Amino acid sequence: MSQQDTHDGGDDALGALLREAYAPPADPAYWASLEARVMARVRESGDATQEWWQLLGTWARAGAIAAGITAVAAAAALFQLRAADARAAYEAVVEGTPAPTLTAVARTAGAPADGREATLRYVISH
Amino acid sequence: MTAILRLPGAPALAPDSPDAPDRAAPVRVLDAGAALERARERALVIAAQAGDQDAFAGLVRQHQQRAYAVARAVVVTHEDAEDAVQEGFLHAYKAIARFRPDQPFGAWLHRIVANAALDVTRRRKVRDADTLPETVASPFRDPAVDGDLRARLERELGALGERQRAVIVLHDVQGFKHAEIGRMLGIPEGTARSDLHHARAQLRRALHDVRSDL
Repeated sequence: MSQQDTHDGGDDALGALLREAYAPPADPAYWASLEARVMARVRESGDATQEWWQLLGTWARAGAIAAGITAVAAAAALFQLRAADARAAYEAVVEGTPAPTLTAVARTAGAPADGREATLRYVISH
Repeated sequence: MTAILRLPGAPALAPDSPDAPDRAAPVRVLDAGAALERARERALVIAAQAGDQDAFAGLVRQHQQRAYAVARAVVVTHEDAEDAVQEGFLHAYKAIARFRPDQPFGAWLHRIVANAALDVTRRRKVRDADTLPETVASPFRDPAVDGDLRARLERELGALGERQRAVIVLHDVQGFKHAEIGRMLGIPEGTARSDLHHARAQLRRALHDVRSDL
C-alpha cells in the first residue's frame, strides 16, 4: 500500500475532507474491545480450523459405531422373528391338527374290517 | 528480483561501492523491522492453523485497524463496518487452514473483509427497502466539520455508486493502489482507476460551490 498514485491539488483537498469523514476511532480501548468481540465470536464458532475431511473422519467413527449397533440389533430382531415363526409352526402342528387325526384313528379303529383286510390277513397267516 | 535486508540505522551503500548491487538488476530493499514483522506474522498464522486461538488473536490485533478501514470504505456507517470486520475475521478463522503462510496475510484478509462488507451492504439494502430510516446514516464522527459542506459531502457520497464510493475511500483515504483495490473488490484494475476518476469528478462538481479549492 502506498500513496504512489499522485493527486492534483483539488484531489488533495477532497482527500482531506474524506479522511476527516472516515477517520477511524482513535481510542485504544475501542480496538481492545473490538478484538474481544471478534475473539468471542471465534470462540463461539468452536474449533473451525479442522478441514472438512477431518470433520468427516470424526463423523465416520461415530457412524461406524452406530452402524455396528444397528447391525447387531437387526440380527437379534431377525433371530427373534425366526424363532417366533418356528414356535408358531410347531404349535400349529402340535395343537392345530390333533383333533381330526385322533378322530380319524378312532373312527378307523372302531370300524369293521373290510374284505381286503381280511384277505390280507389270510394270505399272511398261510 | 534481488532482496537486500537493511538493518535499522545502517548506512546505505554508496552507488560506486563494490558491494553495491548492479544498477541494472531490480532491487527491493526490505527494512529489517518489516522482515521481522513478516516473520512474526507467519509464525502466528502457522500457530493459528494448528488451532491456537491466542495466535489468531495476535493476528486480529495486528490487522484489525486496516480491516476496519477496508470495511468502512465499503459500508455507509461505523456500525456496519464493525459488523463486517467481525464477519470477516470469523470467515478468515474458518478458512485459515487453506491459507498459504508464505503469502501476505493482510491482502488475503482484506479481500475477505471487503466481501463481508459487501454482504452487510446487501443485507442493509434489503432491510432498508422495507423500512424508511428516520435519519440518514452519517459517515462523520467529528461534529466540528462545517455543516453545509458536511451535509453536501454526505449526500454526494450517498449518491455515488457503492463501488465508486469504496474505490475513492480505499484510494484517497486508505492509500491502497488501484491493483490492490481491484483484487479486494473483485474488479479489474482499469475499472478501479476509472471508478476513482468518475467519483472524484462527481464529488468535485457537487462540492465546488461550497469549497472553491476543490
